[in-house]
Amino acid sequence: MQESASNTPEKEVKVIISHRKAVLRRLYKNPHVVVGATIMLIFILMAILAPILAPYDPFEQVPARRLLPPGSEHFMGTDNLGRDILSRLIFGARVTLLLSFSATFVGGALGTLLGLVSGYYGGPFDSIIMRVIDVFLAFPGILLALFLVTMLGTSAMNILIAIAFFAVPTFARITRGSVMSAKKLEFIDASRAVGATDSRIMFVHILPNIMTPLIVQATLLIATNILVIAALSFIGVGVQPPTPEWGSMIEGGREFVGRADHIMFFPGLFILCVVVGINILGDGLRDALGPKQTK
Amino acid sequence: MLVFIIRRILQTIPVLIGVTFVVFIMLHLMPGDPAVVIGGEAASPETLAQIREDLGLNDSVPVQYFRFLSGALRGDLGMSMRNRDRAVVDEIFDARFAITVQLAVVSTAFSVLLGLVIGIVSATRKYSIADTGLMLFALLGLSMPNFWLGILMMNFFAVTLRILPTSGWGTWQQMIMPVVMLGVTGTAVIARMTRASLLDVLNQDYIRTAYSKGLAERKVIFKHALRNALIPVITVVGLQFGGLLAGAILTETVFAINGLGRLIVQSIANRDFPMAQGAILVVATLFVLVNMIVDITYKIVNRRIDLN
Repeated sequence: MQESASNTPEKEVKVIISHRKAVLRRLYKNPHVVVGATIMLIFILMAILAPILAPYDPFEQVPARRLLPPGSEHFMGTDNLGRDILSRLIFGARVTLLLSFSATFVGGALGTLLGLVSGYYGGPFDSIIMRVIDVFLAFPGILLALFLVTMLGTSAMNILIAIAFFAVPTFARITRGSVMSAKKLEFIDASRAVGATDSRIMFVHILPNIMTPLIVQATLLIATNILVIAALSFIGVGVQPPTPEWGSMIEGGREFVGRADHIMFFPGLFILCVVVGINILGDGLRDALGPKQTK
Repeated sequence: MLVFIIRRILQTIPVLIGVTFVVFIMLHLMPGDPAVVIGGEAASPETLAQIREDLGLNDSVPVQYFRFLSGALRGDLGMSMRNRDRAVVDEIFDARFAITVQLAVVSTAFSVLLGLVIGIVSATRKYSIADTGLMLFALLGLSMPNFWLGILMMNFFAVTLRILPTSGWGTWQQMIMPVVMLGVTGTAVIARMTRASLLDVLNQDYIRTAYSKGLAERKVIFKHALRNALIPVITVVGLQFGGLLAGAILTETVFAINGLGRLIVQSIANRDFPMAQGAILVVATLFVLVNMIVDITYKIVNRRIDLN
């Protein structure tokens, strides 16, 4: 008896490790995950290594080299101010990725926290939170962000706040739903019986068990956020020039369409590639992590 | 069923009140003094004080909110600040509302039709070249900045080929590019959803039974499988419609269409607070109502869901 009791924790650890290994193996073996993660990694490396990779200074204006078409010196041509488009796109990856990742993290964490507390305790607190979330879900996507940025002013920090803000309701909803079914499981009763506190049950026992849908949602949200950041810049309330940002580069190239299409073409292509990569990764994670995570 | 419908309608009321509150408070917090917008930078302090008095800006915030709410309920959203003879409600409903709703409805129809066709073809020819190609197409549609697509189309069809007009709304030629631009994301989402949902259903026993009793494939898919596969698609269609209302902001900007979306962008840029407030309120209300209708439809179509 005694022996088996002292063996149990060790066994548990082993089980957890091999579970982790199994998950990792499923991720490696899923072609979507591999392809998507590779594309995303390329863009992340591009953002980190921007000063090394960029052939020119992204801000340097050379009047003599205005509106050059793609060629050997300027691989993707130059814009109306004679700036090298490729260099601006490479530096633009920093702005877009930093904003979309951090907004997803902030909004996702806040929404998860709200959903966790709301779903765990239930009662009047839950009702109030859910009604407030219903109200915010009534503002379709970009409208809320547009509204907030206009109100707060167009700084990178405010754009982050605005985009993070509209992630909160979605995450709160998903988390709440999962928490409500997870808290009925037997092991939760068991840990309560041995005297675990509410916060321990929430963060140590429930949260790890409901991570899968949240990870998938976060991945897809990064993709959405990249598109929203570009859209906000495109209507002029996002990242302001001269900061190289893909959406505002498209806006800047709009008036030269027909004469110098490359100015707006390449930024859109970059957005398309990175978002395709992230969406493939999201699809793969959904298949690999959940037995059935159909939305 | 009736209980569900009534309850769902009643649930909408507090949400709508919440929406009016959020819209009110957000514009209330916006930087910039409305009195200065109307009176101009050069206005004397007395004039500004008079304007503030006229607009009721000296009242407490709750009083201003209830004035706004009771006005909204009576169909009065105040006057534009840029053109003080123009009522916000008139500007919204005289022309702009209809245009945006048309744009959203036609785009939804386009997305649903094309999305269903793509989804059905893909699911019935699972892992074929057609399936791979169509799903790649859907992935691109989902990942594309649609305003970029809009400008590319405009450049190709209107500037280079000169077969479609560059901007505006009204004739069917003018509708093609905006509808494609606005509908592309929805098409992709619906196509993927239809495929996944149909594949789920096709794996079920009753479909095998239908095949084994000798029914033609066409009949199995259209009479048996699709009916159940479409249930989750309905929800997506509802969500898409709401997304389209927001997406209209970009589409209307690219194609210079004078709808609600462009009105929101322009009035925010002009600091015309009542106008922006009114337009946003109308869009959000419409979104809430559409979601309500979708939920009810979903319930009617899918009676298997228990009432709770």
